[in-house]
Amino acid sequence: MIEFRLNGNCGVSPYQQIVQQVKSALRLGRLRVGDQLPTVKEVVGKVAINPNTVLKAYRELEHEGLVAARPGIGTFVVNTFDETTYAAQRTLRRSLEVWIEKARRAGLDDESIEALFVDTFLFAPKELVR
Amino acid sequence: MIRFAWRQFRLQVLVVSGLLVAVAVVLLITGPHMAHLFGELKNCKSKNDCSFLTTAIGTSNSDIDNFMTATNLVFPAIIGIFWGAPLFARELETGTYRLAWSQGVTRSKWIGCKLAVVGVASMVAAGLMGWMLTWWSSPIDTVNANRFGTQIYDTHYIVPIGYAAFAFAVGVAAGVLWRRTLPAMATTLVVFVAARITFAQKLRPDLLSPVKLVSKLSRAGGYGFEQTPNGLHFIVGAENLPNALVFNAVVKGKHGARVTSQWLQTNCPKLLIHVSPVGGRTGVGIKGNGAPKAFSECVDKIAANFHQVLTYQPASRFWPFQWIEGSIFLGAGVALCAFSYWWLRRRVA
Amino acid sequence: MSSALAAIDLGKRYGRKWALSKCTLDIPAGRVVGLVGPNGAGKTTLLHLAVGLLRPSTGSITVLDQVPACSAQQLGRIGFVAQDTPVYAGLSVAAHLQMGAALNASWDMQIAERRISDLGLDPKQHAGRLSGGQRAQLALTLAIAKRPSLLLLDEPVASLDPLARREFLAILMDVVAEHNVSVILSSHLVADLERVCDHLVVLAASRVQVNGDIDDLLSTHHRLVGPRRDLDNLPDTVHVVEASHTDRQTTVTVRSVDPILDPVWSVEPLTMEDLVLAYMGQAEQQRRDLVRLKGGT
Repeated sequence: MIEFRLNGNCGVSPYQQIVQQVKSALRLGRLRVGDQLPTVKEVVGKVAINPNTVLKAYRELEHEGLVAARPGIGTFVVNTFDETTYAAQRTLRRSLEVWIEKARRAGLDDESIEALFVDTFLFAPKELVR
Repeated sequence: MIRFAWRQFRLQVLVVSGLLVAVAVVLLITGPHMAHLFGELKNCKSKNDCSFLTTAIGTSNSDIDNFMTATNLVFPAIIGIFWGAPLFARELETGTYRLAWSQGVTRSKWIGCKLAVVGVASMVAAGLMGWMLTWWSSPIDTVNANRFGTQIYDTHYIVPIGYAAFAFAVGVAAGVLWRRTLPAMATTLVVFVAARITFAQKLRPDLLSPVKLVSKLSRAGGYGFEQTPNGLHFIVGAENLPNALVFNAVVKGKHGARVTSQWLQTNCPKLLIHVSPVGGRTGVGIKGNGAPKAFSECVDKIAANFHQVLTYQPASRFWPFQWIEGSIFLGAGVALCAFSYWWLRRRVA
Repeated sequence: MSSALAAIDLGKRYGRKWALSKCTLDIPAGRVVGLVGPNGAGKTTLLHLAVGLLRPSTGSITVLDQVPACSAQQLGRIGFVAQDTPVYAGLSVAAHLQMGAALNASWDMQIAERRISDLGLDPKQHAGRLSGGQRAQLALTLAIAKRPSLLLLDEPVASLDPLARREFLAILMDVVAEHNVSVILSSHLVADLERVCDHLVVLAASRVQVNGDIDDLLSTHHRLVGPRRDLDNLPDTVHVVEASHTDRQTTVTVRSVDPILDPVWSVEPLTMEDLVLAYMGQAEQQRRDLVRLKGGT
């Protein structure tokens, strides 16, 4: 089961944070088809958030076809992003870890590493070169 | 709501109940002995025995009697200070009125209930206190035969209930106006004491128009002469009517004439010879041979020409007075409570 | 949809000072409403008017479509937690629950007792010995156990430490999720409100500055940044909330239903905090203008 956390000062609304957290969990394989999302009451009791906000986020995910609500039981993941990438993810994560290690050794601090990654990512070609 | 009003009020009830129980214990220990003496007094044979028993009853428990009288006199003030003043002042002071008035009970009912519960409790407590003292001190009261005196009138029967209702209401009103407990308590004490003294001294004697008794000069009240810078004066003491409230005795002649010093000069020349200023100041001193004779001759002459007018409230008016004074204080208390009720509903908004 | 709170031209005056004036509001039921504003803006006055602790000097107010405190039944539908969460210091926690049971027809003792035991409070403990957080929780329990349709909370978390604050809000949201109760919550902690509220009322200088569902407000408010220029040539549909100028640059917070298409402006979205601050700034600016106007004549 996924656990949500809210960041108060990031300029992203609580509802968007929940949607993003579910999506990233789906992408990284932490949530899979058939998994249940925490009930609204569980989320509310943990992170002190308006239940309507959670409902709205779940509705948005439902609208995107990622989850489905089963009345009286809960909300379940019915679809996810390309599962075939999970295997590739493992090797990619490994090479990224190696890259980070290299960067540290070269004397970059955490912020510089993040900036370098984001900058490279933003200016990299958007389309896959075939 | 009534149960909750009691619950909030529990500590104060316990304290005052404790006081009542302590008083009851003291009175129960000392009461039977006095009742026994009183029983003997009723059956006493010789004059000596009777006067001995009378003195014994009058003095044996005088300390306790004085203490109980004092307790009874301040008891309504205690009620006003500790029951009346904090009743709403504490809620307003600590802000708990915001909790109370947002419960599922209308403000009117909440205020009315508290006023009724604690107000009636005040009267019951004062009534009980007065009744205990009445029972205990009845032998002393009979012997002293002074029902209009403070020891009896102000602490027995009905008026203490009226006083308690009034003191409670003064406390409540002071509390809602001040909105703070301590100043409300102080105000209650001052207003209650002032009201009691003013009433007892200024209003009580005239509650019913006094009775005038015109009689021959009698020796019961005692009389004499007084030398003043303006001349000699005849003075007469008020007669001691049992259980009556006697104000004064005046000596008057035809057409309202008074015994003036001129009259004495004309009619009692012999007496004047014997009168001399004592120490050069006012006072009475009748000296020399023949003085007693001159004195009684003069008194006889006065008695022949003047009569005595006694102003008093007769003993039979004790109960009407109790009812009237009790009702006035109770009425004032009810009016003050009505004011507090209105103020809390309209002005504290 | 029925309204949780509706006010028309509502005003409250103390002597010559208006604590709240010309307040016209309609808050639909089923929302969690954040009532925001600086201290002394009239938040407490508005809430006290809504509970019936105060009577209006002008205008009218209805709560759940009834006049506040008009009957015991009406009072029973409102749960109120006053500022500083007053409780009876001399009464035990259990006695408070008995009070609630005695004074409220719809009282649910099970809810109350379960919540007290969840909180780990000793029922025999005197309320005067509770910590600030525990006292706030007791006051909330009293308000919740009467099963209200509307909860009014006046700065309930202002005096609590962050942990107690989070716990308090979590329980409050739990109640909202479970019992479908409307909530009006005053606070000046915008970060907390952003989590728990879906409707916002900004009160400043004893007036309502803005009132609406937060999603609507955020989608219709924008921050425009551009070269320094006059604001007169903005379209009529654009309402300027706040503007500031430097030598070269103009920053302006606007409300507009239509998107801003003028390429001169770069358009940025607003956070809830930006929004609240913009409206509070607007009120402050109006107040200063008024003072200057009075001083000039």
